[in-house]
Amino acid sequence: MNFLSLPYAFFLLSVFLLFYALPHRHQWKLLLTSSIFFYMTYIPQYICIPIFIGIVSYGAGLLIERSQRPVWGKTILIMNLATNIGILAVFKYVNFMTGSFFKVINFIQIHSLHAKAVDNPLVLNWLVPLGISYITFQAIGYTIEIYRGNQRAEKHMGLFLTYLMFFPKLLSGPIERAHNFLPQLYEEHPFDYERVTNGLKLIAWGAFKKIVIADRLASFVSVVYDKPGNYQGISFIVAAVFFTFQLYCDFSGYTDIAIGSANVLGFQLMKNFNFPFISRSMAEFWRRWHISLSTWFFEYVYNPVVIATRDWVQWAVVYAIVVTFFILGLWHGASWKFVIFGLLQGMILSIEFLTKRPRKIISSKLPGRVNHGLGVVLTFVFFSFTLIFFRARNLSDAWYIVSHLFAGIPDFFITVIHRQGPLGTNMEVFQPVFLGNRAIEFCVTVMLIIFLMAVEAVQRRGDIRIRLSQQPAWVRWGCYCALIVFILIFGYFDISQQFIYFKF
Amino acid sequence: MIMTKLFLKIGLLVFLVATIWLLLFLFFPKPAPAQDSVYEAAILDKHRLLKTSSPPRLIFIGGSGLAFGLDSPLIEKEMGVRVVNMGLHGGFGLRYVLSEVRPFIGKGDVVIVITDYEQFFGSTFDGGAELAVIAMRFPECRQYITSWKQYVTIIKNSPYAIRASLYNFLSHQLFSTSFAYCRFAFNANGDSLGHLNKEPPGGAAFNPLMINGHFNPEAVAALNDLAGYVHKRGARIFLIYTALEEKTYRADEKEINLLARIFKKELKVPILGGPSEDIFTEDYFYDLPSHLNARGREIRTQRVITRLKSVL
Repeated sequence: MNFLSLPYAFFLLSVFLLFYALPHRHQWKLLLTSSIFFYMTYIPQYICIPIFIGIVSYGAGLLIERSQRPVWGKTILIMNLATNIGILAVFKYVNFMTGSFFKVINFIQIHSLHAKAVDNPLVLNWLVPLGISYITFQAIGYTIEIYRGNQRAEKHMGLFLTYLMFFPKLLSGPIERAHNFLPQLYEEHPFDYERVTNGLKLIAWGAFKKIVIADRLASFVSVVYDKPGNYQGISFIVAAVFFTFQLYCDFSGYTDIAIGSANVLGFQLMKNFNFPFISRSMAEFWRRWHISLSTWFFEYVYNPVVIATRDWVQWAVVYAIVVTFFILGLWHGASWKFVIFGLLQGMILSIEFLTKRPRKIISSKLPGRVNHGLGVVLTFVFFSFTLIFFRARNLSDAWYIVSHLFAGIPDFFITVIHRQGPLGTNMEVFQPVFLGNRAIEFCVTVMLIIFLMAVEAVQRRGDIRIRLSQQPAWVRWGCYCALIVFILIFGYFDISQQFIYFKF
Repeated sequence: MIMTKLFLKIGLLVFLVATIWLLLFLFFPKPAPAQDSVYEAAILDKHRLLKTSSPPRLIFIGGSGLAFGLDSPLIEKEMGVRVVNMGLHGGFGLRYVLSEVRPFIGKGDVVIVITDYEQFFGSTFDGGAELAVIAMRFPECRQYITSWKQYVTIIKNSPYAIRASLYNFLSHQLFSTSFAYCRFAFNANGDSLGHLNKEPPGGAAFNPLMINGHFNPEAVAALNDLAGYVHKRGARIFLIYTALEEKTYRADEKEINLLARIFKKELKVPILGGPSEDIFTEDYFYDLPSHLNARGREIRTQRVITRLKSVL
């Protein structure tokens, strides 16, 4: 059930009506059943996986809390981590691991032993269960927090399963923390007009970002990444920049719909994006991008590694950064291209950490605005560059794009300069920039990106929904109508276009 | 009580959006029909051709494959009768193109249907985005919309129609473009000439046909109904299979042969030739697997003439 489909709208409406009609003590039952139903609309038999993870982690939480000796608690925690990571590994990484292993074996067979290559006999032909990375991470975080003594074990299994499987965040997060969500399940949720309407507005804005901007950008980006051999230089740069915005609009659009759906039911989910494109460094960027994931890695991977290797002084930080981002890259997908993506992030963050002092000296000599602007641009450029590995179909495509990133650019500019006729004529010379689309389509897309950035600039000065609610009725209603009409006119209503992060 | 207020407000919002939508659809600024240069505007010239010419005529009905792939003056010369080529776009749907010629068929006319295979599968018979475009831009076309299914198609595709009109409005202000797809690329008989001896700007795409869904018996019924009507008016009707690019034909051969078997069994329109007779390699096509280029058009027209001479 796609978030942007009529069935989801009817589903949310039904849950909404029933939720507020039921007394508080029964509301969790509705949320749990509807979440199970929601999950089963994809691959019904896979429902046993999140339920199994839930039951195991629920039991582990109770046992850790009740364990008399720390060593027992640690043993149970390790067993629970092994179960969760094992499930994730079996469903998501086993083909990648065995495939990589046999690639190495075949390389040795062919080059050293001059023998024939062997096929990987361990290929598992099953689909990765949706949302498995998010569910396991929530379960892992929950048990670690109990072990650390920061979280009480949940006694009510139904409520715990509801936390783990709450449908708005089930498929792509946010990776919600138990201490934030579980108390909300105990609170009463009377119908709150403001909260519900704010949720609906957020859903509309998320839909705008996904259908109008992200899916439109996808039509540009796909043509290049599907056949990179047909393109070069300027087209790769445009595609890389467009993909950065596509990914942002796709994922933050999804998150807005998830948070908005939760708001409609009276729940508050954690923020996942905080204007990432104003970041002046990659370190700042990762504090603003996919926050629920980056903070999860910070708390459960980075910090423990730094503490464990603290004797290495500053190299402990570098080591922890590289390890964290290696795993973060792998989390995105079982492929070497994601590993490279993660390692590139780790590399630049390490460089930023190691060059903190000289960079501070240089930046103190630059005017404030120049320094700020330069940081923002460089961060954006670097992130867009790393996303080439993220988006390319495989590592060889990514390498092809990277190695041809500047190919043909001088020729392109010479052609543009020698173009005959007034502005608007002979638009064919701009085809490498338009990526096979019409000039008008390209211009509209660029305008939409500018519009998005402008809205975010206003949003940074205060919640736009609050500002809007202070306006006269005709302004408010005009904006709502304009947004919906805009979505209808410029939206790409192709239901086969799933959210990018559903894959992870 | 507060929830009722919420639903009332949502209802009001839906009403306002629907009203704005309708106003945009009906009154979006567009050039006067006579000055409109979009490809679809050629439909108005084709209507005028039908109105101003008198029987006996050869009236060709079909989609863009027909517009791109027929040399009507050559047929006129060979057959000695006036030729009207009504082919323009498959997106109008077969139901629409059959309905728009009906009022103009007179005694002695010969109607030749050369339509895309897609029209006989799924809901393509009731049109697509292009039907919404002509319904929005050209009020005179609305009179030929006869089924509620076409209205559903128009509503579903109205965002595309409004967006297309907006883009057209903006791009005329911002960019002057020269496309093969232009109203003024048609000759006096309704053949498109804009693509002849040119390379497609975005390259050619010879993909399999967009055959979506199962065979639609309504399409054959509509052809049979037209056949009955044509006979009543003292005219004649024939069907000729569309010309296709070889790889596309091979990819969809199964569906095409299924259609040929159904035609043989159920169609009351005489068929001239078989589906495999006008299959050419991609060198004979412009941008799509049914859009013949100058070379392909010449050969195909000769073959059409030969077939027509055998029955007329």
